[in-house]
Amino acid sequence: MAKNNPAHDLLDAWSSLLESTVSSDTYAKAMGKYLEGCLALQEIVSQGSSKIMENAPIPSREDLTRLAGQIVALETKIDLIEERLEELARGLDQLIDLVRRTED
Amino acid sequence: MNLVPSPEKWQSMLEVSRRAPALEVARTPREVIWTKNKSRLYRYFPTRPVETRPAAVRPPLLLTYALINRPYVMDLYPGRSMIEYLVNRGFEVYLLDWTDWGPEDRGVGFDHLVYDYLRPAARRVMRHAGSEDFHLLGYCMGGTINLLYAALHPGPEIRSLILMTTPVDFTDYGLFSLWLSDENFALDKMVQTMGNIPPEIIDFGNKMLKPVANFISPPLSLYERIEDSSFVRHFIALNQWVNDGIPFPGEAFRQWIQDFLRDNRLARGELVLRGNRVDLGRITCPLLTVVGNQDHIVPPKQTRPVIDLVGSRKKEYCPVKSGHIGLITGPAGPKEVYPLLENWLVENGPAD
Repeated sequence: MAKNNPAHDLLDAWSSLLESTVSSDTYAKAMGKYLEGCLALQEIVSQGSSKIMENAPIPSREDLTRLAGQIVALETKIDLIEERLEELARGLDQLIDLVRRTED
Repeated sequence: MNLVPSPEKWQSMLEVSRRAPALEVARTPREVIWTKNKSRLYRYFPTRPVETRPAAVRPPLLLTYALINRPYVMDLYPGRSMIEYLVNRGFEVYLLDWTDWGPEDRGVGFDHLVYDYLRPAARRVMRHAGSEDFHLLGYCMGGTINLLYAALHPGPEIRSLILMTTPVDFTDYGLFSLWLSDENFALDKMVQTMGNIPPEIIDFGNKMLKPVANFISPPLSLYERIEDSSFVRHFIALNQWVNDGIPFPGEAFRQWIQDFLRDNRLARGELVLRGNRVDLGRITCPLLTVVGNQDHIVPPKQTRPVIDLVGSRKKEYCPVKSGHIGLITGPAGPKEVYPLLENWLVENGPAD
């Protein structure tokens, strides 16, 4: 972007002003308070909707999350079994090689 | 800057905003060779015939990316793709894509990423490529995860480690140290309430570091250069990537803020994963660190100390004139950074 340009100067000034604002302790504290407010609200909404879902005849988000977590855990177990089998297969291959070399 | 109102330019701006750019990005052909949860391990193919030269015997290259945004920034579009460049030069390139994390993954932390995702992925890569070792490249936080992996699994299987804009030492983490301090940021409450952290929050935080540069300047630049088709193409692709975030797993987010940023445990050698201390001094493989010297997201001062922390004898620190993402998506990518990686991989590959 070309220097000595009014639009550029305006943006630069605006940028400096905003950067000094967001660098202030006041801004950080205000954002922190805003976040706390949002979290409190979200907590109330989540708890309320969970209560409603508990009595509804359909699975809740928590139920599905738990189920998905169990599937991931199962996949991890299969992964471990696969890895063990591969180690065994490698060991077996090495053993066969050794036996062949001994026979030769 | 020329911001004179022009009906033609406004018409073009409207067209750009309506255009669906989805087909433009991540075009290098690939196949999935392993999956874990929602994560995918990809192997890439060249887009043109390549010399078979030492490709078959070169150790494969495994890429990882951060838990923020998607890794296709390394394969943005043809001609501006680090992955395309490397596969077309005969390297075997693999990518571990964390993809999306769901509510059931809120408990996923860095220990899971290292032991349950990266470790098996690395074994799959070696087996798939028929190699006993591999190069490991991580971009941004992906590099940090790779450092954890390399420190916890030291040995000959890592041929070399490549860190790109990777944060390691948080002695000074700038504005974030104010915003994310104990006093101003309810970390535990946030993770407990939200589970995974939505990408919009992370993106907003990063953009607020330089609000005008991130919120105002991009549309103005687009308006100014709307008649430059290559600029517009690049803008659309990058904009799509920037707005294509993934949720940050809750526990990993908590660890990142508390253990890495606030307590600086990685650089201090105090980080413990599954009972094992992460001692970067145990890393002895060759190390290449590439940083953008204009990077305000991961400033070089957060990366530079890694050179003194690792035990490697061969270590190189390469600053490049660019920002955090411009390192691979900007003009410095194809001109400087991709060839730098190529040379490093050749230098640290097997003797021809």
